[in-house]
Amino acid sequence: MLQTLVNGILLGGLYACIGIAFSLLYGVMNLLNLAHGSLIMIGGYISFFCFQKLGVDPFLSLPISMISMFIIGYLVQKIIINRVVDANIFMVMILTFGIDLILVNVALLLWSADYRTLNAPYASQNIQLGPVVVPLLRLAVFGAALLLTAALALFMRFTATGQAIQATALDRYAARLIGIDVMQIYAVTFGISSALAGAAGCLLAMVMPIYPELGGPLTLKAFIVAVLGGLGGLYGALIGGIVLGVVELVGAYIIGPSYQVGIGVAMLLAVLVFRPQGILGKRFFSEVTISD
Amino acid sequence: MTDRLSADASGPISASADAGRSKLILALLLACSLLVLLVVPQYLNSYWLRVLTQVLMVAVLASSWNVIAGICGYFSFGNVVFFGIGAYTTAVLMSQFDVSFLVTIPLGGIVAAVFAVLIGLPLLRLRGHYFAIATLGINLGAREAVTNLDWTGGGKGIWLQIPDMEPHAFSLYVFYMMGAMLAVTVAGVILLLRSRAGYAMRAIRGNETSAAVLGIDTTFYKVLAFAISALFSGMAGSIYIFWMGYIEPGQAFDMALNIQFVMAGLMGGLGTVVGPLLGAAVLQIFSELIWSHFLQIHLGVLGLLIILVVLFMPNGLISLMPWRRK
Amino acid sequence: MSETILQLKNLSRHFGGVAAVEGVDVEFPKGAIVGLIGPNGAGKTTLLQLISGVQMPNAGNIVFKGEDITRKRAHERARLGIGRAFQVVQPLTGMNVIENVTVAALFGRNGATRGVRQAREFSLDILNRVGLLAKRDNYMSALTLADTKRLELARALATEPELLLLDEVMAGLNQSEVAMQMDFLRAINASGLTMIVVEHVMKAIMSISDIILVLHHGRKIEFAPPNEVARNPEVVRAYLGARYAEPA
Repeated sequence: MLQTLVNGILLGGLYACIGIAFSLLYGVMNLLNLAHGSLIMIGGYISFFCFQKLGVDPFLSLPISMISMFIIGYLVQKIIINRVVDANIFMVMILTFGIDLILVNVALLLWSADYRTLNAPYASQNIQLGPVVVPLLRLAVFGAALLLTAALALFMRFTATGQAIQATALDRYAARLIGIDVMQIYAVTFGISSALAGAAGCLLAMVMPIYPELGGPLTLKAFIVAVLGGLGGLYGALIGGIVLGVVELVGAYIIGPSYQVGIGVAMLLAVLVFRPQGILGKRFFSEVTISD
Repeated sequence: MTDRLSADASGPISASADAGRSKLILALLLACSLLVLLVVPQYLNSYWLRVLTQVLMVAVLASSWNVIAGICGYFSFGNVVFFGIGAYTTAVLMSQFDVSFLVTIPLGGIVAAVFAVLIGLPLLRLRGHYFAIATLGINLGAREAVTNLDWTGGGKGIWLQIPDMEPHAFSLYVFYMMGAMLAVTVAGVILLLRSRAGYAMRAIRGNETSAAVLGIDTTFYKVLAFAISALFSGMAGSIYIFWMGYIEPGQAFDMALNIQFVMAGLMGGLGTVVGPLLGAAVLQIFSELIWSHFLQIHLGVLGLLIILVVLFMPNGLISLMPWRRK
Repeated sequence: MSETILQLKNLSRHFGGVAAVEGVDVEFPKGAIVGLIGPNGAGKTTLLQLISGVQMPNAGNIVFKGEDITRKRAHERARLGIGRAFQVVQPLTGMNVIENVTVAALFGRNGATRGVRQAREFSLDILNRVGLLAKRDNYMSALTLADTKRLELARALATEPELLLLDEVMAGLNQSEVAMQMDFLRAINASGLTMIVVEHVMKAIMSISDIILVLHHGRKIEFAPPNEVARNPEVVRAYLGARYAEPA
């Protein structure tokens, strides 16, 4: 049981990585990015090929993934999504879905539907901590996830761009009034979110096989993590990820492995019905429920 | 300040005459296509018959989705769950209780509608994105639940007895059933739009707080809209499984189908009667063309289509029609 | 004094740590035009939200026509006869002018007795009275600000209220429009409709109100006819600061 708990926490770190970028986008731009999972997938492929063709260690290809994804994300926002920021939120959501389809198709064409596994040399090493076996790789991934969260938090608080993003998230009209180029900020934010997705993809590729249709289930996980922790919140996503990881594995241990996905869904619904603002979120009166 | 009716005779009245003429043309077009739909299928081969039946089904689903999304303004992203429930109701009733097919159709719809009321009460309190995600979750949850239960056949699904009909006659039968379903759905939507309930739902979409302050019991009408969309979707599901002869969770609660009718609704134009029908037809034409010629990139082309529609035609094809100037 | 149509007993509403409305205790006489004034943030809109049912109070009671409506939802109150015209106009988008008013006619106080066609005819009559008949087929984008304010009023009237809450219906109007609006309000009041009017156009509200309720920091500081209110030093102080308050 303890082993399951530890596994859950480690898995949670990975989930948190997936959820943070998603939450960021929602918090700043009120955008639910249905292409998020596919961006992660592409980040994963980039890492995979860096490793396979160039022999670059996956952890070192992290920045490569991140930079490439940043560029892609930035361009996508600038060219496509920025045109409809004022539209109905569902239309924008569906737009991202269209982008997702294109990404999947590109991946299928370029890399075929085969599963690719990244076998890092240290993949099977473990550490023994008392009664618990901790796979070294998973621990490293967990650590990386924490690092990324911390890096993002620092960026948001201490850089000019980060603060501009926060200002835009709070009130984009006021931000415009004090001279912030909101469209540019949106592009940068999407870029950052994509970069984080790329990082998540890189980490993911180390622990599981990747394939073009990976995006769908990942986007769902990102939803659940972000909603659990509170949509739009940074630390919330971290907590949400860990909670999900633990509950999923512990639940699967108790009830049965085929219920793992179902548990995640049940949690999502429970949160939405009983506490839509998530664990850490604050109540946005008109946004979440109707005060009747 | 109090202008009388006589002051402005030219404006509104002649505009409505114009709209009247366009509506007449539309009615004639519909009558013609109806005639075509009744007669032509007898001569079609089974492939095209299947394609047409699919179009009709997507049209039914798009129109039902339109009730909760377009008319009432609550974008459900998992309406296919009602389709699945209707399908499974028919499957279970027919395979385990020997109920005749025609009887299971309304039952499938009713079970779906009851489910809609049950989940609608908690979920319709949520707005915007949260409601959309929640309905997505419900669909997935339903699929997981059905997969893990025994009496629904679990992951292996349910097989129905092959009906005692010659194949072409069977295809025709299903086609006409689906057509009748579409007629019922469209009639339902038209009646709804003319009724008090229709006004209430449109008001909720327009501005929910205002609607409440004007005396509308928003919870009641939202749940009603949800239940109506479930009713028609459920019945379509019942017909579908009879057609296919086999059901399994992934197929019943298929997100790809959900995307299809959502796209059809958006492309055609929500909130109108004709919009979803138009969207379903156009989408199917596109799909057929792309599938047969560009299989490798059909996903990408669909994605591109979605992007183009959202960027350039957010109100759907119907907004391009001449009499729809707002 | 005539009978009381609305009674607020010790009404309070908090948001987080801030008391928007605190311990308000008022009896509104039937058939009166009651002006509701106070500096920004005094709690006027919140009070209207509480009366119309869009917000629920944290403490206190609301009694309308002798019935305790504190726990009743917004739409139930509308059906009982409380109508509301919002400050930031909230038209029903996607529907044109006549449809907007028809909705109100279908679901207001006598709505249940009407079919759709009758509701439409009733709405035409109301539109005529407010001067929007010619624009009945227009959608929201084709209306001027003054038009949208009239529409807001038309909708509120179509619910056939006995108590009408008007939140800054004169904001943004020019002088002649304000004068017309005031005449109109007097006319509908003459037919027996009790009105609570929130307004910043001081001249308008002083001349139109029978009695004025002054709020400051969520509390009632005065409830008296206009001429008494103008002389109350506490009111002056609330609006203009201590320097301008004169001894009584």
